Amino acid sequence: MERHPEYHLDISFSFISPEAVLARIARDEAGERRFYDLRLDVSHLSLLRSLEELLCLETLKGVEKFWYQIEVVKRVIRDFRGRAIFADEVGLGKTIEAGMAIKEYLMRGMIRRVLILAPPSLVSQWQEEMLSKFDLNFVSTDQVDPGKDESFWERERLIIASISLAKSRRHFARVIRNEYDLVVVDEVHHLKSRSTLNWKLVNALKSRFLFLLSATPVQNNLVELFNLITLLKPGLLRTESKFKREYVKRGDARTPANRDKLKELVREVMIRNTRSLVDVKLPKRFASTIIVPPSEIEQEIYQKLSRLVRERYKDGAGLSKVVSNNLLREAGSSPYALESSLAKLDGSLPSASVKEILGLIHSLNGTEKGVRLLELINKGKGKKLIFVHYLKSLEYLADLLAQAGLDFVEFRGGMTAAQKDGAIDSFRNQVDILLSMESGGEGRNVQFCNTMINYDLPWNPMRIEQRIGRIHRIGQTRDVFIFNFCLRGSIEEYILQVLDKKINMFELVIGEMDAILGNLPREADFEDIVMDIWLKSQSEEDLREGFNWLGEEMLRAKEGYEETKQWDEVLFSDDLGV
Amino acid sequence: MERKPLKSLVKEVLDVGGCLVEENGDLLEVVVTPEIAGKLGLKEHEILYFTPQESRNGQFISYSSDILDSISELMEDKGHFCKVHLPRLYLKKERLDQIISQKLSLANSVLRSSRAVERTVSYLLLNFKYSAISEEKKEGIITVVVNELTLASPGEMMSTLLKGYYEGSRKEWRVEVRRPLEEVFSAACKVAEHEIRRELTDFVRRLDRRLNKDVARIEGYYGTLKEEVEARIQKRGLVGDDQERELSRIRAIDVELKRKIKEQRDRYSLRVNVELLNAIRVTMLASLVILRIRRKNREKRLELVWNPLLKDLELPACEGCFRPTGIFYLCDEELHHICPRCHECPSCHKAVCRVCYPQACPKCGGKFQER
Ligand SMILES: [Zn+2]
Ligand SMILES: [Zn+2]
Ligand SMILES: [Zn+2]
Repeated sequence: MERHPEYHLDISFSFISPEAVLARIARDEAGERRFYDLRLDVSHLSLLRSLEELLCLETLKGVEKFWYQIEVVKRVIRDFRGRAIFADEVGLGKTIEAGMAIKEYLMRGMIRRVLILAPPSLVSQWQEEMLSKFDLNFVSTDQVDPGKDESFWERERLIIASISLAKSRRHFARVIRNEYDLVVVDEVHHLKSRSTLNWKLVNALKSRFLFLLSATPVQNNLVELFNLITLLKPGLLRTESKFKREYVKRGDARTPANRDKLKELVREVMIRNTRSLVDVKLPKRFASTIIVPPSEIEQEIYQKLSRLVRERYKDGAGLSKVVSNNLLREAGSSPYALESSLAKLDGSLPSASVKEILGLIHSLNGTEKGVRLLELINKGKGKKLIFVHYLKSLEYLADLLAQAGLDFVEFRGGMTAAQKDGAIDSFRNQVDILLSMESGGEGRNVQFCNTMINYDLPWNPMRIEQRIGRIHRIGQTRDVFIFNFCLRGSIEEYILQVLDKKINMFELVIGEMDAILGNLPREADFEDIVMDIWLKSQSEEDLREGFNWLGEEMLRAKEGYEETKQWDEVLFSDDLGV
Repeated sequence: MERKPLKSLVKEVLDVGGCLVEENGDLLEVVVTPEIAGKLGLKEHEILYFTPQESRNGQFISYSSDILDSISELMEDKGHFCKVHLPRLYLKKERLDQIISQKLSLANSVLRSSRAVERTVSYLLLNFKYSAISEEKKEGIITVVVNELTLASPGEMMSTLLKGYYEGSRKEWRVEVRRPLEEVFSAACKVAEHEIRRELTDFVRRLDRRLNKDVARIEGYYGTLKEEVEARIQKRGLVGDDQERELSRIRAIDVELKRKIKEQRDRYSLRVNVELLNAIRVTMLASLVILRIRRKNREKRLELVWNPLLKDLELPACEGCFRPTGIFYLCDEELHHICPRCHECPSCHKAVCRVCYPQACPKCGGKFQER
């Protein structure tokens, strides 16, 4: 072995001398001895903290902490010294583990600047969780456009950035110019090969600590594992060609040649818990779709609106995609949600058609979905969480429930934190029905409830998953029941065909949906694809064909994900847990 | 033993901070003003308990509780500084020459005369808290003593002080002469730095070892990458442009290697933040020993203290590093008294006064590192 020059740490000292102390010494202005002793004793207290006790645990809000998560954080800090792959199986809470480790480092004063890189679809979720669970106020590239804010990358201390944005030509150089104390990369299987910009970005970032997160760190071949580990500890697996020669079976990029030795090395940088290993069982989910035949008037409203949107969207003069999308989603939620925004849009739509639809809505006497909701509620006992996206729909349901003499509480945006806590409390202790909008509920525990009703349905599967995640997560002990309402012939019915019938989305584990969507060949959002199909279809035939195609694509994506998952399970088995 | 100190400490601090505290068996019942409640994250009426397994209403306090960080704020400016006056102790004034010749070794000068007088001397004991942060963190509290007249740092007197005389006497000694606080404090900081470096020796050694291991691994990695390219050139017998393309790849690997090594060094670099917590001034009557030392026809007056707590002569502080030193040199330029280490250039090993030349060696040009 070649002899290397010995390196020594750069050590720098900085003294802080509080003026309060020095001024007193200078003036010889003495105080009481017992206070002096007391101050010294209190300062000594902090030295008694060891790493064995995590400081962050007490400060977390609405987070159920599991022993294996605490163990992961301790190992990452103590054994891995802050450079690790978090590869827990889906559903075990990698984000929570990473959040705890971030909080712990911050509380110990060991880090100041943190950069979290996530896929665009997960940026806002990260931000919300960091705030609600860890009380960490990250700034995200969803809120601020760093293209317009010149000093963004330099100025902000806690950043959550979309990795697509960070690696873009416009930002790459600016992102890597800064020094970070901790960089967290979510869904690192997107880094894949060393020729991707994703990989190059992470490789170029200067950071003392580095967390790489993925439930399926390798997808296609073992070299992906090599690439990830090379980010954390270059040289641990030697060079790619040596790695292949030593650890990959000849002619089969997915089968390790020297399994035990490879695992030994991987163990130095990766931690992976599986549900069987930590003995966490997720209860089952049962989903039913309730397809409600619309009344004649309801059908007319939906069809008229649909036609109007298609026409106006097509001729390019009338409606933007966002507005069209919103109108259709409102119509799927309730006519009352549609009513107010339709009235506001009068002007950019032919007023005759608008008036006609508004007239129809005014002539309505309740809705069919409402009737069926009451039937469902009256059928069974127990707590029920009803989700609804639009405020007007929520107000309609509130009236409906009140008239039926049912007791309920509301949870909606605009309530203060105390009001929200109060609502959850009475849902827990007194009332059986919580009527909830999505926003602001993340940090609040409602696992005492195991029945969820989607009165309306988000088109984005990730949003649906977020709703389910409120009651179906580790900590839930009973089976979970999900009821999805939709009108016959509505977009939601087609979406449920794909998500429920085709890929059984409602039986997946939280976190898997994202992995499946990531396997879709097109970069477009599921929601956009749905919208495209709807707008371009002239007939029911077209619609069926379009959604069939989407269903097949989703199925293929799911199969791809499942194959990867199984492979990772075999590859890492149960030997890398805490 | 484990639990009680925490509870009584918390009680004392809350008391001092003006909260109403009642001890109730294992619990503390606390009533605080809204302002304090906000500061500490407590309710205005709160029960604090100190045993983890009990699930009661109230706040569990442990050594890792958040509240311990904010609680010292309640003390505001109390406890930053106090004074102790020691009673009159036996003072040695006779036959000091013998002690001087035992303790001091004058490397390039001669002692001309010495005499002793009684003098009131004050010492500052300063408590510093340090936190050393690299990829791990180590914290500690150290105490440094500085003689405010001579800047000597007789650390050994602390154990004696703590033993008994500490309570002090009622009589207050008037101190006539004392160096400016800035000088005392900067000497204290230098001594503190040495002390902390000593406490961190093992910690640093561990990090050093890991740094070198990581660098070696990286050098191995990039070294092999280069060999692979060289082998390709050989095997394919590349010449001209083809060869040049591969050679430029090797140069790029070298650049990347340098960058990665620098990254490792940054990753392991150790920042030590040191904060002055509080200080105590100890005043006592001592023998001041005044020495006259001669170097090449020039004379220097050096004051040392015979310390009645130590019953010994305090070693002078080197004017370069402020560490106590028995062997000392006088420099040619200004007659600074300096320890052997501050009298030698580490590069050319020639005699150089590090006080006169703090930055670089005038003889070989070598830069001096912070030590
Ligand atoms: Zn010295
Ligand atoms: Zn020199
Ligand atoms: Zn000098």
